Amino acid sequence: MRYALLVCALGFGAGCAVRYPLVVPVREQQFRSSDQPAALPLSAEARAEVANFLEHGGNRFGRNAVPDKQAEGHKQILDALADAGNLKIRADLATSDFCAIAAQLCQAAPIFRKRIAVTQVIDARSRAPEVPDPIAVCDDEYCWVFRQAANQLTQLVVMRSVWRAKP
Amino acid sequence: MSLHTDLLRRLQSAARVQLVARLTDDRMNFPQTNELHVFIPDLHLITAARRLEGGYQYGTNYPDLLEAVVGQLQGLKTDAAPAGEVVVYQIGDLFDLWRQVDGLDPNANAASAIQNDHASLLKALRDPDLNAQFLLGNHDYDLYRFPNFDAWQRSYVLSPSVMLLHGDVFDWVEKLPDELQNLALFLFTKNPVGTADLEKMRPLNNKQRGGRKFKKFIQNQAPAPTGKWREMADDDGRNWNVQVEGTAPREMLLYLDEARQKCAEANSKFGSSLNVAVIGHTHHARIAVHDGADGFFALMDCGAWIENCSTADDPKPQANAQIAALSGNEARIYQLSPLG
Repeated sequence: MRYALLVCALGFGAGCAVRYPLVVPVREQQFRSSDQPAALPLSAEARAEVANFLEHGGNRFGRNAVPDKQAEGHKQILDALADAGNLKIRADLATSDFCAIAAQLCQAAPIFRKRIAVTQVIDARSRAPEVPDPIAVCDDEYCWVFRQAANQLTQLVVMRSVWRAKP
Repeated sequence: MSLHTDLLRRLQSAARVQLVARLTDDRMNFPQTNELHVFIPDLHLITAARRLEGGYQYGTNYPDLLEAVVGQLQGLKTDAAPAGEVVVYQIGDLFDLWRQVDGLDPNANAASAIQNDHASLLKALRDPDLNAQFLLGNHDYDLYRFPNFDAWQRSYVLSPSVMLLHGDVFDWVEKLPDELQNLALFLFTKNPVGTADLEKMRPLNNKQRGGRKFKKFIQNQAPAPTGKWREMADDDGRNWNVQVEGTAPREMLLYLDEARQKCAEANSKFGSSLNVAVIGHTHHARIAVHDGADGFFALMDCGAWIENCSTADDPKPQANAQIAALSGNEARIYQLSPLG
């Protein structure tokens, strides 16, 4: 009974607590896959650049290769992003379900399933927020930030996440 | 040549322009002729898909025209500088989060969905070179929680005499307990309201929503009466269609008393000298004036870009598409419609 009351109280508290939208800050240069976002669909060169970034633990200037725990999932993402058919989105949906927005991409890259779409991407280099909003989706270690226009993903930059899984 | 004239020329290059109202009066105490403040009222943008899904009768009027007008305003701003300063404000309810989603999911990305669906208009409005200033309305109040929108304010004071706010505060300010009355009065100062204050007032704002769906209308079930409009070719530069307390119909004076009273309270508490209020919210374009032994006060309600209005000459509903401007003790409201 006491446990039930505690759960109830916690649930009630969480419901009333002030909750703010998730934010993805753009990280410093070394933790971004490239200075300028790569055009989509990914060219072989752009794909190699992102792959190299991931192979170095999300440190563009890193000297040593680092094992990528999500290597299989990341490979699927890169494969999917090279195909224009996977870039169609529903940017007019008021949802935080990334796969509702980017259904085809999620189908080709299941690592994105059940991930949250974040539209509050903060880039201190910009004079003003971008319009339309970029859409970011984070896996366990990386945030994939997509620029979009006319219901298509158009550009990509990958960043090492501020939140990292426990070693 | 005044900045009012420059603005009119710019508007006429993009739209048919009619004068809804003009007030020229030195007692407004806003003599700056080198400043032009331009006010774009309520748009209530939602996505096309949501409008269909929700069965909303009204959508934003003439979004393409508005985008062209915003482009002209940017040109005006650039041309006027550095001798003149043009400041563009969107005065709240740019987005209609209340109609877009049924409740606030902090990650629901409702604002982004709307912005994506009206990307070119929003790109123009949020262009850093235009540097438009945005007010939070009641239908997009929750934007203060979103970092990409949290520079938006609840009110501005245009020194020395003009109070600019969305206007929804007049719906409920008289019903508040003392503590919150003071908080509401804080809107009438130069100090920006902080996130904590916005958070405190949020339940009051939500109370106004009261479970309503706004399917058939938001503010006005019938077209808002706006008096007589004037073709610009017939304009003689004198006051036009000003609603003076004592002679004007009651409906044309909505919130005049409330605004006057709150500005007077703020003046006595904070030593300001506010005697003009500029609002949106009611979707009812008009200029109303209190001119009595106890002083002068003017309320400019800038209208909207949603729902309809009518004129004294023609009861047929016309799409609200108004823009207002203030410079050199002169306030004007224009009705815009597509050329041709």
